Amino acid sequence: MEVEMTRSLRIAVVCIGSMGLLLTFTGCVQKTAGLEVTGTVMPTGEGKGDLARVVLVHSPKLGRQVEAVDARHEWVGDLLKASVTLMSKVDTTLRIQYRFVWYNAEGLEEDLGGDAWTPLVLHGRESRTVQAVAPNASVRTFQVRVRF
Amino acid sequence: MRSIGLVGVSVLAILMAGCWGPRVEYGDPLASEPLTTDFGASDLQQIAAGMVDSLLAFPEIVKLTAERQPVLLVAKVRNKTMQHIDTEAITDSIRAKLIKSGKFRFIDRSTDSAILEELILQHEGGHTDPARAVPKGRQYGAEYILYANLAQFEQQLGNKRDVYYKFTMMLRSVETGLVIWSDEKEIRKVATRRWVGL
Repeated sequence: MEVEMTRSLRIAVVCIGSMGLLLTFTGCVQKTAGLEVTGTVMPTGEGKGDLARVVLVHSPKLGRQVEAVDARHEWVGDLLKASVTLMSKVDTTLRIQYRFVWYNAEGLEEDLGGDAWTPLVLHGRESRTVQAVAPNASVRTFQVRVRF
Repeated sequence: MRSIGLVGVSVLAILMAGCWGPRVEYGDPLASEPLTTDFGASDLQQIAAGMVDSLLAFPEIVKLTAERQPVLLVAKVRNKTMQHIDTEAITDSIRAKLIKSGKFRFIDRSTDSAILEELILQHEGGHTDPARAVPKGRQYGAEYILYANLAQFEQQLGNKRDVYYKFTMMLRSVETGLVIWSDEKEIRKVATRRWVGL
């Protein structure tokens, strides 16, 4: 009797596990965490005008496949132009999305909901640079969010 | 044994109920998840962002907008695709982004008749105090015109459909007639019919 119960439990666990896997693969469970590259133009001090860069990887899976290898900025008039180079670390083609988010010197987001997610196809081991121009002259920090 | 089976079926039913069946929810307006190869909201947003970035970063435009805000008019986009596309939505997005940049001022010919009607009412209607009527003949004229084309190229073979969109935009000086800026944005969408659910 006990052996039979253990067997049934095992079958139930396998069934539920398979269902979970199936739901994951069919898209019901979509992981949207990714990685962020933040660049802030230093306002004062010795490195004035330099770019302070921070890379945060929220998704280990994406972090294993894509790396932000460079972040730069330049000024077009009084508008900040930002560019980030993304490199594929795998041999297969990756389909990812990126989005620029902008902040002013006080850390407030500018042009809320302005830039949409943009698809990007990265072929095996390829590096591609994404760039955008700030929505207005008050922007001092940019952030590029990347996800699958 | 039977109760364990029932528990298993119940758990499965709960799991399935969460994912299947009709469901309405708010989506992310900034998302980029194409459902078909037709021209969609994400394509519009990509085009608007690409064109505005290119225009604002073009050296001659940077020079032009450094000291003053030139007056622009947005002409209608020529839709050369085989689809019905609200091309005004593209130019509306481009205009909104350019206005927010603080680099340009715009005039809008689509509301001219309403303005004219209001001016006639104020000056000839007899109901408005002449001292408080808006003076006539002081409107701005466009210095530059933004105009664009949207083209579509399509290929289909077997279960694969490949659609390529090309949006071309130009900025032309009203005074000299010269095209002083132009750029293109290309979008390619590929649909493949799959025979296996996963």
